[in-house]
Amino acid sequence: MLQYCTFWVGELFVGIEVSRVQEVLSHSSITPVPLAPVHVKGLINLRGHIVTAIDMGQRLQVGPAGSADGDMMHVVLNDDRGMLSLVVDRVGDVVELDKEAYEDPPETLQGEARRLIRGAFKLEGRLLLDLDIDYVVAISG
Amino acid sequence: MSGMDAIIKEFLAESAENLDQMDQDLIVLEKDPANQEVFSRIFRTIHTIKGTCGFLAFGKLEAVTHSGETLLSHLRDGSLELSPEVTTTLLAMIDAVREILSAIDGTGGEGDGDYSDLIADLERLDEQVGQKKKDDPKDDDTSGIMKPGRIELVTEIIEDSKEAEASIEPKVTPKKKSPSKRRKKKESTVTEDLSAKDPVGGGADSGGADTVRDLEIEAPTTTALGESSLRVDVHVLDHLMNLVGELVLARNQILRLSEGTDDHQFEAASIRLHGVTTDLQEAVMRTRMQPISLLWKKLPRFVRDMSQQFGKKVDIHMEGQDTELDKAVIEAIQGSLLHLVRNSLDHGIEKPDLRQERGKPPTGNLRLKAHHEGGNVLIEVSDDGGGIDHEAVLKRGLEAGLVSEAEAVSLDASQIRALIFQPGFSTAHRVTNVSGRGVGLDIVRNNIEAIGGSVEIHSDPGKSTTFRLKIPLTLAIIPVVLVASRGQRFAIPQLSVVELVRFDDESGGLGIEDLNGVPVYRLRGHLLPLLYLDEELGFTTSRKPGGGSVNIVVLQGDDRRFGLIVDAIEDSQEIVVKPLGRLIDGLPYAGSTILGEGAVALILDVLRLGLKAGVVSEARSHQAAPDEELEIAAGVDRRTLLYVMGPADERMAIDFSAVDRLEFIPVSDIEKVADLPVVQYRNEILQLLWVDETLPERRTQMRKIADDPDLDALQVVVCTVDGLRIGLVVYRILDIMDRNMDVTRPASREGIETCVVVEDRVTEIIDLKTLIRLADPGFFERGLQPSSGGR
Repeated sequence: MLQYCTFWVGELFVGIEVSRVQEVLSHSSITPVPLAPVHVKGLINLRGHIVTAIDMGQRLQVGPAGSADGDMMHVVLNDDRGMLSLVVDRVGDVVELDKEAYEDPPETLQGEARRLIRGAFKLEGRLLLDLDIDYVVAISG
Repeated sequence: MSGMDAIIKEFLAESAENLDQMDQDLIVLEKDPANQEVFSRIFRTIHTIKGTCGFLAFGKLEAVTHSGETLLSHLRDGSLELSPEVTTTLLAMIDAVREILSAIDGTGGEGDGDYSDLIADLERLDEQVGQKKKDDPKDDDTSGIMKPGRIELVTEIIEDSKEAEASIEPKVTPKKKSPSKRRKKKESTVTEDLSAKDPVGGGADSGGADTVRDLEIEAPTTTALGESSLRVDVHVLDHLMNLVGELVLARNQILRLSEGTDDHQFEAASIRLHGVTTDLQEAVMRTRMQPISLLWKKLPRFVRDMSQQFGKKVDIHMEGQDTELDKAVIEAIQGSLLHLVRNSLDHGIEKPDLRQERGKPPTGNLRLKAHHEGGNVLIEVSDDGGGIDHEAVLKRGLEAGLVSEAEAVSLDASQIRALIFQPGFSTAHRVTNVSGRGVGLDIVRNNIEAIGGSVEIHSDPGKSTTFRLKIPLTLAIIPVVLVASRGQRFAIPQLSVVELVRFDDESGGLGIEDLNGVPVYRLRGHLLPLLYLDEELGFTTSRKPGGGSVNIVVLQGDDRRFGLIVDAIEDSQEIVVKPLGRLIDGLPYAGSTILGEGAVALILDVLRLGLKAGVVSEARSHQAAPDEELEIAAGVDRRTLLYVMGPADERMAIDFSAVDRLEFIPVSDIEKVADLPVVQYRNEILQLLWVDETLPERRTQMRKIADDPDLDALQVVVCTVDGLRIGLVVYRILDIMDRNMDVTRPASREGIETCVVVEDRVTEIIDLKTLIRLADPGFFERGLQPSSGGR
């Protein structure tokens, strides 16, 4: 069984392995970085660490993440190069997944999203997209 | 007795800490038995407790720790393996020690626990050592050398010197010694070393005795050293720093709450909390900073030894030793700095006789400089040696296959110098036993770049070589000016800020002027190119046709000044520089910081901002300054010029350094004094000179313009030449440019310094002095209007 942390970005229901996630938080104060690429939402202060927040909505090309009044959720990842926050609209449950339910990405997925999505888990009533987190982290501009 | 109590109390506190650590250490050790550092720490802890309790007459504790220590010493020298059983027994020993200590703490006595079983266990495990030793011929040899009688003698001496040992903290050095050396050490112990102690109960176990003796002879470090300073793990400081950050956030919440209340006591308490938190924050931030002198203090000795080895005479000069850097940064650059110094001593500075041949004093100079600049620390290592032989470097680059013949032709001086940073560029024919051992400058560059810094090299062949390291001061504290643009705050390092200017744009004529699309401001007679911060940051323009107040931060970007127009200038404060988050590269930010209330602010990289906007040119950036001579020699000129247009659309240029102001002067203001055109200007009489005065045919044309009733004002460039002011009347002011120009042809007439091609137009650079003399031979002699300064 695989454990996935799930969240919504626009209409997309996306998940990443729970082991990659350090924490999930709602954080309202974000400092935009002028001139930065559009998917860099800004910088947040996470207990004294400056963490870059990546706008998953922009990454997945479904429009900026977060609501109009500034509500957004941060899924904070931590790897050997430090922390990184994925800004998403809403965070779902941690779900247990069966490998049997895994399939390659749906053909309808287009553009950059196609590269970011490794595949999909067929859940009851909806698809959970498996985010290629290494690809998200690897991009630099 | 109170003195004794204090000692016991200290002993208890210290031991408790050490025991906690020891618990963890044993676990680590079980997984990683080869970890000598951890082992040493464990050994030292037990050793210290044992020594101290002997002094304080806690017999039971001494007995337990003694057995433990014996066992540990065998583990350390490898005669016993750390089996799970041994670990368990040692952990039991720690528990026993803790138990006795808590009894001492509570009752003053050692309690009535019976530890004979534990001691028996420890001894039983210890006996396995002997058996293992018998199987090991090498260790047998060792025990043959050790004579039990001798050890007893040591024991006796030591029993009398328990007091001395209490203050001794042995340093464990995991060194294997040859048997003969061991014997020598042992003898010296017997006769001289009173601080040695009885390591082995019955003296029957030679291996243990041996080990302990080594320890004590190696380094009897006194613990008294740590009175005024304390070693703290950097991670502890990091953690502390983050906690303070959290505290600041909580403080801010409290402050907000206190604003909405009438409770004055609560308000007073929160204000106090505010003050204390701020101080605490500052104090914690400072803990990580260390002056670079920490690194440099080793250098004089190093340079002395090295120069002797090379047969050279070198004086070392150091500037900016107080420059503070984060501890981690200092450690990271240590190796690179030594390498550069070594490089200068070996390859840079020549031998005394060669120096004299070249007309230099026999003693060479090595200079180290450090200073903060715009969120970075600049460290320079320079020598007045032979410089870099570009031809030799290029030759070597070709040999090593770093460049092809075809490429080599097109390389310029700086590209050639950059070759020495290439991996594989080893000047093998100059290998010495100090440098050139395959550890090249590429390693230095890699190390510096790994921490986000850069290395540059400048050389004046035959005269000097300078390595310039630009090191980011992660975590460093710098004073900044906070400015706002579009509701967002940005920090500008105060080092780059020259002054702050604020004025109301209504105040007529003093505002921002447009110089062919380039906004400029007249700051005390000098033209200051301006940038709008919001525009530079990609927002839409906030340029207003006039009205409202204008805030200008006057910045020094290398040797050029420019003004940055911001929405508001808020505050100046000291901030902690933090690295930018991930995935943010190549933007004009030097880092980020967390402001008092927890918000993140970006630190502007002034130089990069200026470069990006073109107000500071690459050529003028001071990193290139030493290159300038070379470039002039190569026929490349870099100057800042004011471009003007003559009446027949010809292009002329005036060296910007002579320009004071640009003015519109109403034609009606022109008067005549002794047939010379003058105007009253700022309480002076300013003589006017038509820019093409030397060309009579044009002069007429210009006069015509002046007489044109439709034209009511003349554009005048106010210049200072040899301390005298003069107004040059031009047809139009075009632009200020600062760039590289290829000299195309010499001047064709007097009053012109040279001709250059700028944007496909031949442009004459005016030689002001000659031009003035041609037009009015008596100008300088009369000294008509002494300059009122203004610069």
